[in-house]
Amino acid sequence: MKISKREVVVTGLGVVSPMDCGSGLDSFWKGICQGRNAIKPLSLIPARSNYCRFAGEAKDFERFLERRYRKDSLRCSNLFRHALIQAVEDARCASLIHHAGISFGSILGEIDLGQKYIEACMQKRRNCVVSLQGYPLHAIPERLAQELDLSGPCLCVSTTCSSSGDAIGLALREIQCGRSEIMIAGGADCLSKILAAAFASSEAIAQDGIVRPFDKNRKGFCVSEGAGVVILEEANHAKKRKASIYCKIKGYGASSDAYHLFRPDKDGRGLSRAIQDALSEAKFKPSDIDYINAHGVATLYNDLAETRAIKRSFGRHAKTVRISSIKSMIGHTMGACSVIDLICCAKVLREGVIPATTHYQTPDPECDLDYTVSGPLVAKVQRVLSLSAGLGGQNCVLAAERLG
Amino acid sequence: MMAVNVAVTGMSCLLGSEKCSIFLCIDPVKYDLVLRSIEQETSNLFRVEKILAVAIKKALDDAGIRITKKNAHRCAILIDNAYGIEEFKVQSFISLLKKEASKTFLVPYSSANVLAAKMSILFNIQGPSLTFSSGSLPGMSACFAGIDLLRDKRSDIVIVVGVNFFCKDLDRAFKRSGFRQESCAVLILEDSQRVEKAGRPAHGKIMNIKRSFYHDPKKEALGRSRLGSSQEVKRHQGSILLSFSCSLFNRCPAIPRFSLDPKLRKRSVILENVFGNTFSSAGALGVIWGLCAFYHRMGEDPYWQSVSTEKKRREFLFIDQDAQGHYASMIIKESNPCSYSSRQEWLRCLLRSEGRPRIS
Repeated sequence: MKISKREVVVTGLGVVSPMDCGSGLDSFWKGICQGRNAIKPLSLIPARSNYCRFAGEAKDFERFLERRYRKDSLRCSNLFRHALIQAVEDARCASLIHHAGISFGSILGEIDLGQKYIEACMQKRRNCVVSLQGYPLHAIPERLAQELDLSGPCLCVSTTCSSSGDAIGLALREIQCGRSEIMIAGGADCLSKILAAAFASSEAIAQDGIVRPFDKNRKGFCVSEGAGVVILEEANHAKKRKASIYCKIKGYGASSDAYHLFRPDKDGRGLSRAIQDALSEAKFKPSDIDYINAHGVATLYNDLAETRAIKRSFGRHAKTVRISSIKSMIGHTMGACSVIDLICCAKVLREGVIPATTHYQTPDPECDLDYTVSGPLVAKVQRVLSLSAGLGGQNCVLAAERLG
Repeated sequence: MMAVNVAVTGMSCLLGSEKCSIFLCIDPVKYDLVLRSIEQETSNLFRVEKILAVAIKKALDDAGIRITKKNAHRCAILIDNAYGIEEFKVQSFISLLKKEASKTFLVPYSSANVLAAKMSILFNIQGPSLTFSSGSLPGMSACFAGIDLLRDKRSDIVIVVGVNFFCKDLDRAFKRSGFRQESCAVLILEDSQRVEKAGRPAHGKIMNIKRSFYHDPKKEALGRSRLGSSQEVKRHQGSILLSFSCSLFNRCPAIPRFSLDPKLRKRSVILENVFGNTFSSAGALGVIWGLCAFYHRMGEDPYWQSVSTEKKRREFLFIDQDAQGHYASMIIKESNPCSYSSRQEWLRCLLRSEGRPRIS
C-alpha cells in the first residue's frame, strides 16, 4: 500500500480548565506560568463521606456561554462547546467549519445523565429512552456536529486518560490520508458523583489537595474537570488562508502495556514503544526533543513507568531533556488531559517558556530526570513530545514541532 | 471512495440463543472449551469478558494467527462499544444510591474501554488498543481505524470487534431501542499484499471505504433520497447490504421510505430486519454476513442464493447509516478461493438467529 502523507498544523486552541474557569487561553497560560494551584475543596457536588475532598473545578465557566446553554444540565457538552468556540475563534475558521470533521475523546462523558437514565429505568419511569440518547459518549460530538452543521467525519474514542490524545491522533490520520482538510479534535470530562466517589478511597488520590509529580513524598493526583480543543488543518490549506499557525503535529504513537488493568508496566515498555513510534513518524532523533510534557499524575507506578520509558527511549539524552507535568497545578482532567497537555506544548513552542512542575520538594532516587522544578524556564524550544498513559495500559504520544 | 487493500483473514460471531428476560443472550458456559484453550487464566473474568475472549480466540484461530512475544507489538485491538458495560455502570450507580463506600474499580469498569484493556492483557496485544463510540456506526469506525493502521504499516494484525451486550436491569429501555439479541462479531484484518505473499487464505478483501456525517434534522435524507442519489449505490450494480442501526429507536422514517424504492429493494438486505438493532456490532456483523453469503447458499433465502451463485460480480457494497447522520460504506470483494471450515460455523450461527433473513 502506498503511503502519501500530508503535513498537519495546529491553527486554533481552546481550553477550559480549573486554572482559567473558561476565561480563555491567555488566562490558562498565565496561571500555568505563575505555577498557581487550581485544586480547591470540592464544592460542585454536595459533600459526602465517600467523595474525594479536593478537586479541580471549572467554576462558573457557563457564564461565557450563550444564554440558551447556561441552564443546560449537560456539563460535559458545555465544557467541550466552550473550548470548541474558543478554538474556532482563535483559528478564525468559522466560515470553513462546516467542511470540518470532529474527533472527540472522553472517559465518562455525560455520566450524570447516565445515572439518571439508569435510575429511571430501574424505577420503570417512562422517560428513560430520552435519556438513553444523550448519555453515550458519542452523543457529545454528535450534538455539536449538528449544531455547527459539520459535514466531515464524527469520531468518538475512549481510552481512559489518553482519550483526547487518541482523538487528536485519529484526526491527524483523517487529514494525512486526504479524507479531510480541517478537523476539530479534543476531549472533555466533567466532575460527577461517580468520579468523586470512585477515587475517594483510592491510594492514588492526594487527600491534601497537593499534587507532587516525581517527588518522593508524592500522594497521588486530584480529579479535575476540563476540556480542550485544537483545530488541525492541512498545512497548505492553512497557509492559503493565511492562518496563524501554532505548530506542526509531526507524529502520533499509540500502544498498550498488556500488563495490568490498574497499574502501568513499571518498566515503561509500552509507553516507550509509543514514544518510539511517534519519534519515528516525526523523523525526530531523541536529541532533537527539547521538552516533554509528561503525564505526571504523581502516583508511584506512573512516575516510575514514565521515567523509565523516557530513559528507555532517549538513552543518554534522557537526562538532558526538560520534562514537566502541569497536573501539579490543574489536577487530572481525565479524558481531556491529553489535549490540554498538547495545548500547553503549543504555547511552549510559541512563547518559549517551559512551565514548572510545582510542589516538588524531595527528590526520588528512582525518578532522576530534569523535571523543571525551579520555576518556569525561558528556553528556545523547537520540538516537543506530549505523553499520556491511561488506566488499563493505553499509551499515547504526540510529537509537535515549531514552524520555521 | 478511498481505495484500500485489506484482507479479512479471520472472523467469528456469537449471537444470543439463550432466552433471558425478553431477549436472547449469549451463554459463555457453552464455550468453556475455547476459554480453557486461552493461555491466561479466564475463570475470574466477567460474563461479557468471557464472551469477548471466546470470539477473539475463535477469530484468531480462524486466521491461523498466534500472538507471540515477536508479533505482540504489531497487533492492535479496536473495539466498538457504544454504551459501555452497562452491568458495571448499574452496579456503580446502585452503590452510589445506597451511599456505599466507593470502590476504585468503578472508573475503569464504568468506562467504555475496559474491554479493550482487558483483552489486550488477556491476549498480550501490545499495539494500539482503542474503543470507539459513534452512534450506530462504531463497527465501521473501528474497521476504518484498523485500515489506517495497516495502511501506515503501524500494525500487521488488527482485531476489529463489535459488541452489543444486554443488561437485565435495563431490559425495557433496550427493547424500545430495537434490541433483540446479544451479538459479538470479530474480524481479523491484515494487509492484503502481505497475506498473498505468504500464500495465506482470506475470506475477502476490503477494496474501498467512505465515511461522512450529514446533519439531517428532519431525518428524511436517510431514506431514498440519500441512498438513491449516493454515488456508491448508483455505480454499484451488485448486491447491497444495509445497516440502519438505531432506526427503530429513533422512529426514523428511513426504512419505510427506503423500502419503497423498488430498484434498491431488489438488490439489498437490511441487517436490522435480520438481527434487530445490533448497535455497535453492526459493522463487523454485516461484513461477516456478506462474506458468508458469497460462499454458501443462505438456506431458503432466494436473495442470498442468487448472490452466492452470481459468477460475474462477487462483491458487495455495505452501507451503514444511522438516524444521527453518520454514513459509512465499504466495498468488499471475494478473495482467493479457499475452503474455510469456519464459514460453515458462522453461517449456521447466523441462520440459527431468531430473526430469519427476510427480503426487504
